[in-house]
Amino acid sequence: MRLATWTVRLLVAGVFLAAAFGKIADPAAFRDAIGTFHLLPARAGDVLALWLPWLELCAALALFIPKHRPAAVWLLGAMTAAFLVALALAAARGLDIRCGCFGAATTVSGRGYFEYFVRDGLLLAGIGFLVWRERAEERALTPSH
Amino acid sequence: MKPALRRSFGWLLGAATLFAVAHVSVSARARAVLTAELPAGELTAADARAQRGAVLWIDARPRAEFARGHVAGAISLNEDEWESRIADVLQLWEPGRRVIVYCSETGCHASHRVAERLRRDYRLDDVWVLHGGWAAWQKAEAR
Repeated sequence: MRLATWTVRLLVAGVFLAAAFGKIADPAAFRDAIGTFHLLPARAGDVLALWLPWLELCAALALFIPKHRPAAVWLLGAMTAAFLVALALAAARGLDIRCGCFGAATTVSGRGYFEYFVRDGLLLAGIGFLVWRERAEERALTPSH
Repeated sequence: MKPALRRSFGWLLGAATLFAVAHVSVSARARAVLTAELPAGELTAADARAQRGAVLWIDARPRAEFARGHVAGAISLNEDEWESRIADVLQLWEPGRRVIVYCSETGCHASHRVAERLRRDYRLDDVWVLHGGWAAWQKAEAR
């Protein structure tokens, strides 16, 4: 189980680190990608475009700091879940969006959404596994009375 | 929530904020995100007014709002009446003619959706959204 946990941890961290670096390198492209979802006022999108990639980076790195790991997995889970909700809203409104996930400006529309739902659903499942492992490890370390 | 978990959240959110602030202070590209006046694909009412005459104005608001007032020369094309209106709009368009779409204000998204549909489905490439919509236009006209 330790090997599986570390494998998933490395995969999740790798995905978020790659995502963060792409966005940090080109914040304007990420800001424009956020704009294609039509969910936030323009100014909020600007701030999110500058802040979110650093949160991804910090949370991904914190997966390797035992003290901060529980908070990191919850933050990564919340970010992924929020993205899936935004994706679902965009799909329901029939928008052509740009994911902005790794800094590349690929347009997503129609059936293209499916790939993103699958990909991010798997990512969320991986993070869910890490949450479960964190809780199991915490229980194992808690002295029983 | 446990105090240790709360502290961790604080550390991570704080670190991300500090890094973002540092990024903005050292990177011109990051600063440009905050100082850029307009999102991509939008133009201001002042810029739009300077081009009046050569522009095909499209009002993406509901018909009732259009009837209460609109940009002079604008044609109504909202999503609810798309099928019955699009042919009339396309008849007025000719290659090289700029299209500017607007809705009520900054918070409305109908203009973006209509503009996107014109670009995607009808291959119109010079389509813009009026930043701030009808509200911004009225303000600009009042000046």
